[in-house]
Amino acid sequence: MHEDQIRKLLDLLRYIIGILIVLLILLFGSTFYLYFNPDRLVPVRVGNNSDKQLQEKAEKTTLLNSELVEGAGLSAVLTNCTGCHSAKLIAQNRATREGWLSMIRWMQGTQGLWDLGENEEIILDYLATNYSPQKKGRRQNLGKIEWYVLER
Amino acid sequence: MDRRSFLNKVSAGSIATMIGVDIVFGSNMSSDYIPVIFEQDLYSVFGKHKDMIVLNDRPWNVEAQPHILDDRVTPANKMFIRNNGIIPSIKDSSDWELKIAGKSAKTSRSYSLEVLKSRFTKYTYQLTLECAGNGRSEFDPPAKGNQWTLGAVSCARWSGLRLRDLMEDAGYNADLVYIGYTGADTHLSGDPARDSISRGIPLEKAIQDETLLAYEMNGNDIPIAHGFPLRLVAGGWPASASGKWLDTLLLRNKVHDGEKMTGQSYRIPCETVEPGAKVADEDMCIIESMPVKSLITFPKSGAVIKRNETLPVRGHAWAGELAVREVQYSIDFGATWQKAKLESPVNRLAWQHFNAKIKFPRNGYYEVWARATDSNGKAQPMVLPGWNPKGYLNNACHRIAVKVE
Repeated sequence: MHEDQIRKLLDLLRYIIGILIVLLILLFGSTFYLYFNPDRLVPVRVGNNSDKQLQEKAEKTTLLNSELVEGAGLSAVLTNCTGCHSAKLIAQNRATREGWLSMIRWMQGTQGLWDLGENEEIILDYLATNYSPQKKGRRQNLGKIEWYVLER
Repeated sequence: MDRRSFLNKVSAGSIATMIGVDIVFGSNMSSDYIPVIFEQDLYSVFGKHKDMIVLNDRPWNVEAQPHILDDRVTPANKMFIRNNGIIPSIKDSSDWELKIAGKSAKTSRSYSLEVLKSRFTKYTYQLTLECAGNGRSEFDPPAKGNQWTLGAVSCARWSGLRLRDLMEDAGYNADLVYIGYTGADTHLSGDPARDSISRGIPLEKAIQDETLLAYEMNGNDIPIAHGFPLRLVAGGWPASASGKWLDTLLLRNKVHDGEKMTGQSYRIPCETVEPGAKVADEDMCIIESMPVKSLITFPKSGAVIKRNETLPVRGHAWAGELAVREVQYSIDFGATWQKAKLESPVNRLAWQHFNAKIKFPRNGYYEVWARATDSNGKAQPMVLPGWNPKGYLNNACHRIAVKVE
């Protein structure tokens, strides 16, 4: 029993030393890495943004330019659609899910659009949710009237 | 989504194609530098009026608003742009050549721009060009494409030689039925083998006096956005028939079948259909003359006037191949109509100017509606005309809002 207890203590000691060695290696390694890559210490640095920030910035710029509404699937739309035409073309159109699908098929048949794979559902969901048709009837009210005094 | 592929998509190169101009050293641009020149630059790159509205920047589709179309002759800065592809980069036209080809051409040959300018009589006409899709935004159910409102129309002064004179000089066979064109613009996909648009006109339209191969617009070189250095101009027809950056004329012994001549493009159902109907390609017919239409260009919608004031109103009216016989206006939503003063066109296929002085019976909200009637007695509808799958030919009456206080 006594010998067994000593063996258990030795096993525990070996285990602790092992962990310490691993921690030391990690500490040295990261110090070494940061010595040569000091910019990793600065979380935000102009000119060297993280991918995520870059992506957000790019999306914002594209959004600004495209006026596409934010929503699930927007990235897939920007990636697959705006390589060939402006996002403005999407933003100004409205259609049912079926209508958007027929536009995609038309682009695939005549304009060289690739197979969208899994993205097709994502894109259709986005478009049908955010760009569905509005009822207009035979004539709408005059919208967005900016009143001004006519100078004589 | 794969982040890398997204970042690649918004590279400098794609931004360059988006704005339609080359960014010098674009490939050296760091990926976190995105130029802020998009929309603002339309106005400086093409010299457009600040009230022009960008519907699409790749390809460029830009429309005017009624109140900036008040000029009798549309200046370049207020002319709508409807492009199907990427504007070609043409800096020097001294070696520009127009090829004549097609089965009905006596011989295939080329004319230099210089020869076209020097050897043929120069004619000048003011010609109305309206996009067939002008007004598309109002259709219900909606039609796909650029959602033009009211401003895809212009009437500039075009100068050049008659297409007929060139056809006679080049020689054509008796079986000629259609003249197709190709231009130097690039397909959006960048594929050089594809035309972005290649439409045309039948023989009857081609031999009209006013059908020009134009090399000047309003007395200057044609602006690059509008077809420099050579453009076919077929007034009164969908503006897409008037090919820009013209490099080839195809003398065809059958109806031209180039890009956007076939299928559903620039076609309407041969027989009227219920809104939202699907129409087979073989039941679609090519649009020829545009329908009668008018636009109130003064005042801008939203004018507030005093009870004792008269409101001066003016605008233009046009009718495709025909002339406008009458323009009327209504201030009571069509219950009663009064005649506006209407001028004759400066030449056939030019828009006509109208004006009126309107008195209002009491204070309140009014709409001034204008309605033109063509020389065959057909008038503009007050509601939308027949629905068609691509949303063409909306010639419903234009109206402006007025308040009398």
